[in-house]
Amino acid sequence: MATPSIAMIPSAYADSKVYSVLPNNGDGDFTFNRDSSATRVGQNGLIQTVGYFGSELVTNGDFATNSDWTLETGWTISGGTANFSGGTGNKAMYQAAGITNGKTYKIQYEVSSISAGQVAVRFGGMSGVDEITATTIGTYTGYITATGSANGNIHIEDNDNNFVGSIDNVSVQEVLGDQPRLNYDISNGVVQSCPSLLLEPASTNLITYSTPINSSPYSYSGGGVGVAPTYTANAGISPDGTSTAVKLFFDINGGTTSSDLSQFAYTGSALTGDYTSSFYLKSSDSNSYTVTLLNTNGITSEAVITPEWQRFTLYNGGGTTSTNLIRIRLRGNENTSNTASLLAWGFQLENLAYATSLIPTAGSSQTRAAETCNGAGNASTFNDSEGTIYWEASALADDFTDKRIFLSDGTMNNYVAIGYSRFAGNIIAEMISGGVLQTSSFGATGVTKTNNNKYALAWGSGTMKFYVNGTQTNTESVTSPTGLNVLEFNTAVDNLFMYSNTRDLRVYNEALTDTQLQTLTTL
Amino acid sequence: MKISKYEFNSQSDAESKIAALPHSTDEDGNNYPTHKHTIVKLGHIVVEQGEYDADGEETKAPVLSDKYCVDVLWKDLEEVDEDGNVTVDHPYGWKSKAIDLDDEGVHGFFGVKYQDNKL
Repeated sequence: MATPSIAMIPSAYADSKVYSVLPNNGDGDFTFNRDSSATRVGQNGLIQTVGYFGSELVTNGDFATNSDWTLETGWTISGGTANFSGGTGNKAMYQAAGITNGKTYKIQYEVSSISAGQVAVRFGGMSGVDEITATTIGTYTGYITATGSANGNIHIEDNDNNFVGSIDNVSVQEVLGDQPRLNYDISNGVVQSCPSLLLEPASTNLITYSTPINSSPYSYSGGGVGVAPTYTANAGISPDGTSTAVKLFFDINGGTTSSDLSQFAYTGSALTGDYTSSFYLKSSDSNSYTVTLLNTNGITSEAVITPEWQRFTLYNGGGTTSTNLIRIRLRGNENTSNTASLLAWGFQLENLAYATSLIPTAGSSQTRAAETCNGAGNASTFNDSEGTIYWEASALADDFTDKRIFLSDGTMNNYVAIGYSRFAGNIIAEMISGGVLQTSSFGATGVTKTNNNKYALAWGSGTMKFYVNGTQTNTESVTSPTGLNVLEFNTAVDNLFMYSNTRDLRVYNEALTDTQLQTLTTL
Repeated sequence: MKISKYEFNSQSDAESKIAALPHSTDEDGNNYPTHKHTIVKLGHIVVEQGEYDADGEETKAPVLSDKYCVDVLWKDLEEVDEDGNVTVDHPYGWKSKAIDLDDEGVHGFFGVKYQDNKL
């Protein structure tokens, strides 16, 4: 088989880039954008935060103890602040923070008191190059890129031999920027070895505490002979590997009527529209428990909670929600267990018809920004007269919206596209040449888009062929497009964004044979 | 990028300002944004929580703001004049609706603090 002109098998990325395996000169790399952090499932199966800022690099930045900092003459740590009372020689306090040359960091600190002079925060070895200075009380934030002379330390310095004041809450975080997400699917409890490139739309988690708290807006109630669930914080290892899972113990005391209730809920104002709730549950012991889950509209479903973490997703189908936006319960007339000892974590409610990756919250709703991935290749990368696009992916949902993988001349007048149709189960295999639509049928119908499927569209010698999972599903007579120069996860006019899990995307500069197409797309 | 929070007198006021941002129309006649901003319609936010009984029945209605709230993560607002001076400002018609909070407010953009990126 021919060598692809572009092959993007999700494996490597950098700030604002998704690297392609081929070509290896950078021409085939995609430009990636997302203006917020996001989460993914990492290679170890744990949920991890990706970008926008890295973890905290300063130890004891709140000066709770007199430790971790090297204090030059005149500096002290006491009363929860770092203090300096004037001196000579630009005395500093510092600590090793793992600052790495070439990387950019966000630095923040608070001047809690100042009566004279100027203080500066900078990286060791970079005196006078980049500093964040202050002469008045306040919180100061700046961004510094470490240069070749940086020695890895963070410095707080009397900047004019006259500083008298106190510093608090020093923070240094690497600016990770627009980091793409290589997401490792978990199937039947096993982390898959090959990641996918996860691209998602903007979404807001309306749950203000994704880890439940023991007070409003969460509620714990009992009824009949049932008792309110008990709550224990930090009771188990959560899906992100921390010990933040909450233990909920439900008990209906042998009750058998609808009055006998033990219920956990998240309450809020009723909403109208498509809403999907999601959360992680497991039993806190070796038993499995049967509980009732309710979607936002109050429709019940039975769920078996096993000793393995599962993410439960409940779509309301539209309409108006209850004020109980999430409910988990035992009830005497609902075939549930008599008791249930559960670990719970990662609650989310989105104004979408499907759940997206977890957006953690801790007191306020949070939005993850939309992602884009585009701009791969140039005129020398692609062939016009014939070629093949191969794409292996699963959809986030069959959500009645159009989405495209788009190989074009940068306009809507010449392109070859594979995509999800807004019609359920239908796959787009489309070509326009010189502004004239060449294809009249869907590439395939009856496809379960959320499955991992393999698609290939080949064109050349006046024919277009489309294959799905080893089977030819469409062929049409076509005239090839011209000027193809860019491959993108959206159209040439920046719409129909391909939100999906992509495992493999390639473009060949020849029309593969039927045998090759069948082999390539067979699952 | 910059973050700003806005209060409009009504949802229709907010919708008209959002609709005035750069957009285009697809072949089916649907408008779609051509800007890169992330706009979150918070609506009439709860200023005093409601109270609910065990069945989820509202026993005390929440108190809602009379303003329609919108949070925006602005992208590429910078403008450079002929002298090379860079300015960043609210798009036309938005500035008078902007509010300034001392904290992060009831909504945020994951991992990007309002206080650090306030417009």
